[in-house]
Amino acid sequence: MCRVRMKAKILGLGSAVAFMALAAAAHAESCLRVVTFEWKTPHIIDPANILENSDLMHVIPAYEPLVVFDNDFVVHPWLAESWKVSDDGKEWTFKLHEGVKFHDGAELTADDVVYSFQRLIDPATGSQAKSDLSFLKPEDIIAKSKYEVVFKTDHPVAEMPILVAGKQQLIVRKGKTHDELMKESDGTGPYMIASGFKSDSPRTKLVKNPNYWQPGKPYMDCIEISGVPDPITRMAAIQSGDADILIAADATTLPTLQKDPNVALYEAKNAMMMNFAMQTDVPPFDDVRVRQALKLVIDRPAMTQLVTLGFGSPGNDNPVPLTSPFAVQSTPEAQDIEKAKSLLAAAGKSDLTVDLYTGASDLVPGMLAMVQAYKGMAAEAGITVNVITTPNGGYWDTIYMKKPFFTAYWWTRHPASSLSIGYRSDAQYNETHYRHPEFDKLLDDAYAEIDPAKRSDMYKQAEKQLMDDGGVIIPTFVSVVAAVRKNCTGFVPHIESRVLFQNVKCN
Amino acid sequence: MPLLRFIATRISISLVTMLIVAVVIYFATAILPGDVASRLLGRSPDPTALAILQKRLGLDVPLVFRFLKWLGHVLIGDPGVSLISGQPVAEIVGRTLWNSSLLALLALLIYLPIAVIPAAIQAIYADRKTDHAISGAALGIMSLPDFLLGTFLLLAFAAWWPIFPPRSTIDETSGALDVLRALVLPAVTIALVMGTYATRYLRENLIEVLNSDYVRMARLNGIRESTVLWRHAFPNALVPTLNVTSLSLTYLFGGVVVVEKVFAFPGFGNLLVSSLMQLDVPVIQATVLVAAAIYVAGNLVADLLTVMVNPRLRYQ
Repeated sequence: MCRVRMKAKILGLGSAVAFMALAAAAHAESCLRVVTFEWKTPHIIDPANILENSDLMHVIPAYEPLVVFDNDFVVHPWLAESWKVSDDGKEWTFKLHEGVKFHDGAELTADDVVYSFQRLIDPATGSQAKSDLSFLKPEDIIAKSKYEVVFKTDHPVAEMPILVAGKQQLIVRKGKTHDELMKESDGTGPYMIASGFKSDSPRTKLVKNPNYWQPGKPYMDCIEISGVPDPITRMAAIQSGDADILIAADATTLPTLQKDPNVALYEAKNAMMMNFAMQTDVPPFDDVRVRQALKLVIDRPAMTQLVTLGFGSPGNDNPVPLTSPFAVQSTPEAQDIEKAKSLLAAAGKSDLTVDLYTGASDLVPGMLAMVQAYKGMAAEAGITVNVITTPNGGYWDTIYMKKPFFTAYWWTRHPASSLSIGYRSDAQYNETHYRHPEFDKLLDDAYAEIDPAKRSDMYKQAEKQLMDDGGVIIPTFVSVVAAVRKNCTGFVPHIESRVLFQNVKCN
Repeated sequence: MPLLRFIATRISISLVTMLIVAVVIYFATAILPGDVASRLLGRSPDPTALAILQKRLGLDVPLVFRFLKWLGHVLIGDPGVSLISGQPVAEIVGRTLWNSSLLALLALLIYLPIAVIPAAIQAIYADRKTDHAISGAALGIMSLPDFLLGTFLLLAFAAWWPIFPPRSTIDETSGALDVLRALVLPAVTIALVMGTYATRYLRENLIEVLNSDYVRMARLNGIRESTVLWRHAFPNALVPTLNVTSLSLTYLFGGVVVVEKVFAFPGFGNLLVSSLMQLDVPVIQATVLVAAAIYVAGNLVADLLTVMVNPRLRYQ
């Protein structure tokens, strides 16, 4: 008996020592460790073909666009230091930054830009950017001089800078093929994907580009990207210091992270809108007074607080957020129950009952809270909202755009894109069956108007029309919240996760 | 001789099963909604681009010809390349299979003491407070779904007391110690799930054996209690438990996908799910085939072992 106990003791002690040794072996990483919310292997690292967020996270540190845009979709110089448009709006000239080097050491010239864009619009490349660049023809992308690129078009394209700043519109070295770009990067970015890249690896390490064109940057030796699908594991990773940057923290973990003294939260406001869609050709929504009443019942700040737990901003039934420089109105519309009641009375619908369709569980976090809050607010004006839920799996096939009143969400876009993709007569995602020639004409005129101030006015007119007459109700915009360890500086949150990693430094 | 014939029959049945699985998986993936070409090109693809891509991926050849070509290649051990990254499928599947094997091995090592020690204590103190306390604890762990158990362990040992990494994202560049550290939490999770289940079996069997005549005889002969337990009772009680263990084999490869998700572990289950979501058909086919092969092989080995252990079955 005694010997057995002794053995057990020695065994126990031994395993305890082994355990401690195992636990004490700390990481000696000098890398910036970035964790994103998904990891869809195998990854595509040819920038022309990227699909998923985790693909994007691979190419962002390695490749750069001609211009960058901020969270208000205002465009800023990047590889192109300036640009100008001809008076007729049909010829855009981008002047490149001089002395920019590719990962293979070659200097960036206009030829590389021409090659990159010709490649994007070549059907053999199979890039999703092709449809955004449908106005370009390969022979009209011209290297005017060593550092000047010209884009010629048949009709004026006033929003050219934002159109060349899309996710896939990144500059690669001239002559590089898809197969080559799937093996290692050849861009101008601050970090490089070295040869030996494995598309199915659970993490990717990018090494510092020693020839980076912005002096002194990047600050870190390398950057390690990985994806963690589980929200609690993501939270544990940032709290324990196993990760430096969490690209998007889950809404449920924000209250805990907010209390953590070692973690700072960075909010990219207005990243996503949550909306109800009323089909404007189906009764009772064909009556503009009913549509207006259904918009007036909302207490927008209260609903936003409830739906996003403080990480959101009110919306105005306008896909352009309140704080955007392109927004027609910067304050939320006030709730007005009396006006809603009188509008309904005038329409002969004082005891209005409507069916509102949504998913059985949150389509996006907060969706069911938004629907329930709406039901309560509408009841104040005597409107009965029947909430009908269907399983999330079939929602987008059986309910979305097939029922007269339903919920949806959209990632925020530039006004030129967000106003047209859902509300033009011929829009593919015309959720509200909104068909108004004057609205379409406003957008067409805006696309051809090269004076930014005038163009912005046209967008605002179109937004005003949508707010007053349209069938979309947008009570709330949701923020994307990044969590960053406090020993890191230089991080700026971006609504499309396009983080400028060259500025980030962790001690 | 009858034994050899039995083995030959079982092996040929297994091969036929594999062939049926291959046919079913190939045509099932062919009728999956949507194809990888339209996924790569977006929601409303350019027709020229679609045609070029389908030709490059070989999707323009009739299905039956594609199947025969694929089957031929699989038979010589070449399941093709990923439609998305162009990497050899064998390489992709091999890596995750290796990771899962490491995890399974460590889980089994932790599983054995977790299953055996509490059962032995319970059997010695059967129907006393210690027994009930351990039973209660085991029941508590058993009733937790594996992902929740994993999350608890993660919060405890990677967040509140951060001694293990929360992300088990290991690759070829990870050192042996890093790999071991990354494996501990998922392996403990799996071992607890499997172990608490096996403990109950083992306890029952041990109690039964400890009450049997030959054990009583051994005690009467004055043999020490520890020798009675470990040398005489334990081996006999272990056999049914090994059966339960072999049934857990399929859980270890594929069934642990939720545990893999919690720890972001690059295992076999994760590959199966992610290739399905990506519609990367050659990878889906290869992973399902391998999973089926593990299952079939596991059953085959279990059958053969049973026959060898139990002489009565040999001549039927």
